[in-house]
This record gives sequence, structure tokens and C-alpha cells, in this order.
Amino acid sequence: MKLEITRIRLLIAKYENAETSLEEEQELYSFFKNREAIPEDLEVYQHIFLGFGQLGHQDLNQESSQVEVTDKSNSKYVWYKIAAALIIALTTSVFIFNSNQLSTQEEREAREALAQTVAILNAVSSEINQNTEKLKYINQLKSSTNKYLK
Amino acid sequence: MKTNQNQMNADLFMHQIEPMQAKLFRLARRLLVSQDAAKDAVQDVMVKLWEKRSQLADKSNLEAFAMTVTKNHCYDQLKLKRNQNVSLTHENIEDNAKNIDQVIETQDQVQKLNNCIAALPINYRMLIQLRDIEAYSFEDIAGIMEMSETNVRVTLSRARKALVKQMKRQQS
Repeated sequence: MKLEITRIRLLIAKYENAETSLEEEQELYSFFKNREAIPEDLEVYQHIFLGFGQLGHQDLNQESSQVEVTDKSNSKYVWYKIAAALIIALTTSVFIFNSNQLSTQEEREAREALAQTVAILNAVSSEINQNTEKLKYINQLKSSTNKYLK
Repeated sequence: MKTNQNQMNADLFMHQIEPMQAKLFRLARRLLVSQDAAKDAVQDVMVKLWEKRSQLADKSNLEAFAMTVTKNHCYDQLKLKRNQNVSLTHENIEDNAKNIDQVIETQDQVQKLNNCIAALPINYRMLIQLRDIEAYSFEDIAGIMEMSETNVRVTLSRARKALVKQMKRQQS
């Protein structure tokens, strides 16, 4: 296994100098395709060789179908956007409507409370006035007692 | 009689050329970046090859010849800079696609590699495409590129080193 890795490293060095044959390059490709555990410093080469393999299989029709897929997802996103905008518009309008109702309700309550307090105050004030009239008698009593004391 | 011969020629032509279409397209896309521009280029090359069909019989390596025609056609397109705008919009699309694909790691790695290749100078890009992706012999590549074999090897070596460097930078 160690020997194999050493050979691969040698092949990579040859590869970078453009000295490998097509067979040797194929060997590198199948090595990276079939191996799971790869030394960390060779991982970049795995990505490169496996990527080459993938890039060589794309053709005209495949490409157009890929484009279609992305287009579809794009249109889906457009619908998402529209849906999100609708939701925002709905929630804000509902909120505004509710708060409007709330304010009229509050207003009504406040008016009722005002009317009640006004009525209470009127009643209280009339009671107070009634009582002040009766205070005159206290003054009379005072003067009469003063008479007798003198 | 003559129409019959033409018909034969057309069948033979399609039979020979059709299997190469994907390779021509990949080379054109590597050079022009834009998908649509590459498709147009392949169509134009097909027309050019059809016009030269009388000479095609003499060509020993038809595929290499078709690749040379594609290369020259794409170089002309780049010189015209007709597709500069197209390539810009295409990059946007690719970015979008990359975001969607990020979930799948292997797909992401292929995309990364593709982007790294796309960032290389044009002659590096072409050599990587021809050798590492399409697996042509050095002899064929020298023919397609109209370069000497030694020159191909020297440039390819630089291209590979540059690509590995780019990929390492991407990984870290």
C-alpha cells in the first residue's frame, strides 16, 4: 500500500511535468476513483482527477437540461418572492385593520368613561351645593349661641 | 445521380461528425465560457465542415481537424469580442447554479475545478481541456493547436502546475 502511494506520488510529479502517458494518467484517475482513504496532501489531486472525469461527460443535451433545471428553480424562487410579498402585505393590512378597530373600540370606551365621570362629577357637585345650603343653619346656630353666652 | 451522391455524402458526414459534437461543444465552451455562444460556435463549425466536405476525405484525422476548426473559430469569436456581454451574464447564471449545488459536495468540487480552469489563461485552458478532459495524444494536440509537441508539453506542464496551485488555494 505504501509502495502504491509512492508510485502515485511519482506519477503526480511526472504528471505536473507533462511527462505522463495517457495510460499513466488513466492509472491516476482509477486510483483516485477507487480509493477512499487518501493522504491529505493528495486530496486536491483527487478532486482534480475525478473532476476531469465528470467534465468529460457533459454534452450538448445534458447541458441544456441542466440549464432548464436551474431555470425552473429560479422561477420557483420568483413564486417564493411573490408569496412572501403577499404574506407581508396581508399581515400588515390585517394588523392595520385590527388596530383601526381597536382604536374605535378604545375611543368608544373612553367616551363612555368620560360621560360617566362627567355624570358622577355633576352629581357630586350638586350634592356638595346642597350641603353648603345647609351650612347656613350652622351659622345661625353660632350667632344664637353667641347671643345666649353674652 | 448527383443528388443521390450528395445524399450519401450527407449521411456519411452526419455519421462521422455527430459523435464529435459533444467534444467540439466542450472545447468551444471552455474557450468562450458562455453556453449559448458555444452552441452557436458548434453550429458554425458544422457548416464550415460541411462546406469543406470535399476535402474532408483527404484528412487522415478528421476529429483533430474538426477540433482545429473549432479552436480557430472560437479564437475569431473572442477577437470579435462579440460575446463579452453574454459571458458576463453567463457567469451570473453559473454563480446561481453553484449556490444551489453547494449541498452536494462532489458536485461542488467539480464546479470548483471548472471555475479554477476557467480562471487560467486561454492556452492553458485549452491544453487542459484537450489532454486532461478529452484525453488526446500529444501528437493530436500538437496538430490541433498548431504547435510543436515540445511546446505543448512545456505549456501543459505550466498549465497543470497553475491549476494545482489554484485548487490548493481554493481548498485552504
